[in-house]
Order: sequence, then structure tokens, then C-alpha cells
Amino acid sequence: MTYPFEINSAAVQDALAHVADDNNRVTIDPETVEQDLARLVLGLMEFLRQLMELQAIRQMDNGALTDIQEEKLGSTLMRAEAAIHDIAAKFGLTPADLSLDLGPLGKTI
Amino acid sequence: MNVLGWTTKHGPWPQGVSCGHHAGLFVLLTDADKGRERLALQVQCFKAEWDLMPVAPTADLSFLQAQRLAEDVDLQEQMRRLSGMGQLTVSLTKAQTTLSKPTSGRQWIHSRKAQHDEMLQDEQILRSMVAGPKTALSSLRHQADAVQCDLLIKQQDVALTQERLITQAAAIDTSPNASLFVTGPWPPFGFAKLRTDHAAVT
Repeated sequence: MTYPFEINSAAVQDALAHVADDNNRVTIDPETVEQDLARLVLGLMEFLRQLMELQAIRQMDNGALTDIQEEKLGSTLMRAEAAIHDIAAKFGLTPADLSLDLGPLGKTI
Repeated sequence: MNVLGWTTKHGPWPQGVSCGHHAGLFVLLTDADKGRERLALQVQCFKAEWDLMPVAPTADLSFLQAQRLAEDVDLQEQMRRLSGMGQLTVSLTKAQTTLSKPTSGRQWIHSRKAQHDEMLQDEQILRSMVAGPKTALSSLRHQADAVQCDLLIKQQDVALTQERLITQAAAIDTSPNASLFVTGPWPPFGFAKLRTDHAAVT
């Protein structure tokens, strides 16, 4: 049996970025203060939205939601995500930028 | 100057790295101010001796701070644990599939539940791949299309560990769009416990 081995530079880059990414930390720079604050606030909002999404999934797993409740929760969370991403885009932020590095606690998203 | 890490060896070290001494250990220092430059130096130092207790390349830890750290952390004990050790980063990656855009809230939440279930399944697969006797593992990390973790291994166990990963990867049934990537061996960033009440440097 043979295995397809290759050097995958993208995987190596990902691993390197995990320890060496200079842009991970939340910093407030006088030149980009609006964007930095937006990143912080929107990052926290997206974090809370994802917690609510996980809670909804748990309730689905437990069979605790009716079809109507699933529709209502799903619509709310879907629109909240779209709204957060829209506002982020206005500040030049991508969804990936909303991941906040909390140091030893890891990333929010 | 910023600290790259501690070692028990005297070198010689690559250009751009100087050596200090405290807490019974050699301290590797550099003027490089970018995280990526420091990381490159750390990898070179590690490859030379397999004897490096690294700090996070972006930690900006000064020599003075390192001396204070030695008051709170038993660096000698940490060094004993990490000397001759490196880490492999193992990543289970899945090609992103294009999903149709949900047309209702119910469809959306069900697609998110499916993604969540798949993520838990990937975690389980990765855990079973890397599990082995006396294997120290970091906690799992998630990216958009991957789940990954670090393994702490001895220098002499690298080939054996890679062979074990290949065997276990071949034995585990994964979807055809899944790939396993192994990066390293490189400095044991995921295993140097250098946190104190005052600062986190890894």
C-alpha cells in the first residue's frame, strides 16, 4: 500500500501562523482606532451570537424545540450573523477578523 | 533584546542570536522584532540541538522580565521536561463543500447543526489518530476547515510517531475530502508552561 505524501506549504503556514501571527492580538492604534474598536465590539457580539447558536443546537439535540421555534431561532441567528458581518464589512473587517485572541483562554470564535 | 527561550546547551547559535545566562540556564536573545523572524530563529536553534524551551515569538519578553519569570516558574523543571523534545502539529483538514444558501431559518439552523456534528466527529477522529502510549497532547484547536493539535515527542521517536500516524490514518475511515497534515518536528511551543500571575508568555 502506498500513501500520497507531499509537502503542503499551506498546512505549514497555518501551523506557523498559530504561534507567530502578529495580528492576532487586540490592539488599539491611534491611526485605526475606529476599526480596532469595531473589531473588539463586533468580535464580542459574534462570540455571544455563536454561544446562542450552540445553545440552540443543544436544545435541538434534546428535542426541546418545535418546528416553529426552530424557524424563529434560526431566522434570528441567521439575520444576526448577516447584520454583524455587514457592519464589520463597513469597517473593512472580514468575519475572520472578528476572532479575538484571549491569550491563554484561546480564541473567542 | 527579546528572549527566544531557554536551553542547557552553549551553542553555537545562528547569526542574530546571542546568549545570556540566568536561573542555571542559557537564555537565547535576539534583536529581531517581528514574530516571524523570531520564530525562524527559534526553529534554527531547535534544529541545532533539540534543546529549547521556547517562548511565544510574539511575547516580547525582555531579559529582565525573563529573570522575574524565573522567580515564579521553575524553569529548571520545565527544561528537564522539554529538553530533547519537540512537537509535531497534526491537522485534520476537510475541503470546504459548497452548500446551497438556506432559504429558511429552520434550514439554516439544521445546516449549522450538521456542521457542528461534523466538527465533533472530526475531533473524535483526530483524537483516535494521535492517541498513543505516553503521548502528551495539547488541547484541540479549530479553524474554519480544520481541527488540529500538538504532540510532544522525543527526538528518537519522530520516525516511529510519524509511522504510527500513517498507520492510524490509513485505518480510520474518513470522508474522501479529508487530509491529514503533520508539521514538524519544531520547538515545543504548545508545552512550555511559562504563565505566571503577572504575564502570559506562551
